Amino acid sequence: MRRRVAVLFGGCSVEHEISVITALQLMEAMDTLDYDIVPVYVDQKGHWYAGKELLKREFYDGLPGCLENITKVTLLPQPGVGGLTILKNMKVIPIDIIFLAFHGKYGEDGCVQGLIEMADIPYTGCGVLTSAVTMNKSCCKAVLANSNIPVLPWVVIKREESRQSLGALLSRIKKCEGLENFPYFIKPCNLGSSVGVGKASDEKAFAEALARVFKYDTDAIVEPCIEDLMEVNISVLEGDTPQVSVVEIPVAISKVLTYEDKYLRGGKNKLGGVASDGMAGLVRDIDPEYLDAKLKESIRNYALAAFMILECAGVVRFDFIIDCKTNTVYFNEVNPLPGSLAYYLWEKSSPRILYTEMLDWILKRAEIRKARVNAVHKDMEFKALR
Amino acid sequence: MIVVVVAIILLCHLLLYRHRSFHYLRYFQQEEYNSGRFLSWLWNNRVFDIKATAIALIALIVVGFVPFVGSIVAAVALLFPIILEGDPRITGKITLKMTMRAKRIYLCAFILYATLLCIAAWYVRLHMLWLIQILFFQSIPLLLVIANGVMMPLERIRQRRYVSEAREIVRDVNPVIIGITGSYGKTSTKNILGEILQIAVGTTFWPPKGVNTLMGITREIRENLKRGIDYAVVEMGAYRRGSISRLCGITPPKAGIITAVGLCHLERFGSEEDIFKAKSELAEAIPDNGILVCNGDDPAVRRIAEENHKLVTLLYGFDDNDLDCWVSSMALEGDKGTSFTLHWNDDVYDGYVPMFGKTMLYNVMAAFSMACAFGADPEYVLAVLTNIEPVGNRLQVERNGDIIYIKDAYNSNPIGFCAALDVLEGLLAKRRIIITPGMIELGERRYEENVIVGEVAGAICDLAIVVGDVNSDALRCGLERGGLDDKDIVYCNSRDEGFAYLSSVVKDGDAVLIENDLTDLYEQRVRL
Repeated sequence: MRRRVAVLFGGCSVEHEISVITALQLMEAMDTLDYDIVPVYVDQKGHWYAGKELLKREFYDGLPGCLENITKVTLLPQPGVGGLTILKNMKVIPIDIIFLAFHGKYGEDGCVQGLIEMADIPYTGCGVLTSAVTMNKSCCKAVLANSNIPVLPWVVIKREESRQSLGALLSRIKKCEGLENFPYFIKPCNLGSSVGVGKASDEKAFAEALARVFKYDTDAIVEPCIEDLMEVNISVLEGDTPQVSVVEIPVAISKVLTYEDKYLRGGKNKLGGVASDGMAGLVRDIDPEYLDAKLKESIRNYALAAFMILECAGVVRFDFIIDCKTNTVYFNEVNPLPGSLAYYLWEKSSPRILYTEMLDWILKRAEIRKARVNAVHKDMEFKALR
Repeated sequence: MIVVVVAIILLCHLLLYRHRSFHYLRYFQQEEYNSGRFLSWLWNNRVFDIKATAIALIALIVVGFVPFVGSIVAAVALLFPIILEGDPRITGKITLKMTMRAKRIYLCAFILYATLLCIAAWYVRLHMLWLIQILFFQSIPLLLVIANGVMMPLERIRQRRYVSEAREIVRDVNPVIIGITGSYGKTSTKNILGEILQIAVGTTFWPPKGVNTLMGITREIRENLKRGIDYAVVEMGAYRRGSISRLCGITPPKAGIITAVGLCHLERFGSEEDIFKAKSELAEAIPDNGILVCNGDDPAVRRIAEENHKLVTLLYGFDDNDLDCWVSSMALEGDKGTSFTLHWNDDVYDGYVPMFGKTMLYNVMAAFSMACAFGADPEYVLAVLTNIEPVGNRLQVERNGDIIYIKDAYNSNPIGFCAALDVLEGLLAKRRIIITPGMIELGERRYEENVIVGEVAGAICDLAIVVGDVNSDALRCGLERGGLDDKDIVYCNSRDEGFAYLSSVVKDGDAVLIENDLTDLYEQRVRL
């Protein structure tokens, strides 16, 4: 039976635009014979809009004025509604499955997942706990380190602490094992997409990097900066036995992959102001031969293990770092809702999975998971009050 | 039959009315619903209806022969201007924002207009109707003014309620308020200071963009000032004497920055002494145990500092003449930003900002001094500065391929204009081009001030594109004095025409200064 899928994207996060790109790509790839797509755009203020107009890329050139004539909707946090509620007349647009295509705050951190849980509708990707844990870099590292997945040492800094004294802060960091000396790598604790990341080789650069992070996040995470590093990404797809994709090495212009590297360099045209393809447009080496087979193997194993430990679902992307001097692999971070859903990796994997198939699989799994979660006794009789 | 025809005419007419009233409303909104200024804009620019009037005149003749068919064709023709002119809510540099107030004025005007039109249609014959419609077309802006007047008492009551709510919120949240005023640089200073305080001092509220009017600030407070916020940075615009005092009534400042006392908005103020007194109001509102940060290079601001003693008074500037914070050297770092040497408390710091121009450094110094006065670590403040982005269209340098654009598009003034020219001169470029309508709000000094900046520009630029005819004589005179050949000065009627010309001549290696890209209101011609 044809299912009606609401694709949710946009949202109040720094990665708003990237989410729009991810969503437009996946809505184009989704099989419309099996799925009736209802695009739901959440603007930067957090208002929800639904309508077929949202399928067109050109539409977003006219923001925010073009939203005037689009139906405003919402999702009520109560079971039994069965879809999106139109704000104007409280009528319901029935929805079978929600496809989440958000990146970052509220959409990838468990918030919207919690709302949809309450509305009792199947949704794609990781659940509340996994999303919440994986979005916080420090929390995620702690959980994985506890299960013997190698991670770099790290320290969390609060914005309030930085206001007191930078000197005292540095001496606290230097007391940690593995963080005795510069250079450091500083990044926001709760953001993906490389927004605000920076390297510091001295105190001045440290202050600058911190200031950059605190523009976007209240917490910063400090790690040792590995001078000769290679980033390796790999994707894992949900299943009764999860599958791993090929690995890729994203090619950064500088040592560290910046937001511009990831999203703005586009595929063909490298001038500013061109339409970006999101993560799919990045310059990359897929399954490179120069990467040692043993390293690939251990990355695959770590990725699979991490997927299970974190109880991930849908398609996720793990980013690892290889210290080229020692050939050691470290878990770096996980994207519970990766840009472009990492489809470009699956198209090169074996067995090959095309984007349309992958989306179909993810949607089917969402319904299976929902059924499994619901198949427990819900003892909700009145006892204590009577 | 006649009823149907008249109904069609009225329907088309009202559709055109709806479209046109949006057009006028956009300008009315830009003039902050000031009826006097709106009407004088209307009169000076002769923005009267031409298209619909022409259609009605033709209809008047045609209807004599084929009354019904002619009327219907003419009525449908009335819809063409709607398609031709574009929706002012979406198109144009500054769009009409359908705020609640705009909606109320629109609706009130619509009811008045539609009623009058229907009454007219009831009493007159068909061909007379076409004659009378011309009157109606021309009266659209007047109806808006009348509607605004009708709504005014209600508007006043509403505003008063909002203001008192805002005052209540401020009292409840009780943040440390820092007021910023000055003829220019206050928006940038506010944004820079807000960013610095937020990261290096404490949770900070600062209204976005150039919000600096009573109602603008009131709205921001009601929506975004929440408990837990420690600091509030408020830009206080002064358009006449007393306006800053009023703002200080809602947001009583503990500290303040005065950036400059210049010629901005001279048209609205009257005299320079009035500007001086208006800016002094901020210093007067700060308690004696407060902090006052002033531009020490501006003699009038210095005078304000001397006349108003506070616990902490700090002066900043370039010429170290008894200053607390000063910059001894600055250098352009390619098209990326500016590095500078800053002196503060007997220490010397090397700083960098991804922004341009001497005026921008004034803003940086003002924000730096204020943040340090509140206990921020100077090193950390400088670290924040390296990450600051300029606010849109305020001296931004952008590279597009091999062409560098300097955008300094907001309400230009002599000092800001020259600072932008400074940056243009400092960039590596094969050709230097300026596109500008000159400076507008300078009252009776407009001509001479435009000649002066024109002369500076003439010495630097290889090509000048003068937009509009408001300042074209003054600019020509200045540019030629500065040494620019007559053939290298191009005159364009509108912004669009200017940019079209620019894109036809601009080449790799050029640097283009877009100076004072004004609001729609001052552009050459609006034809309806």
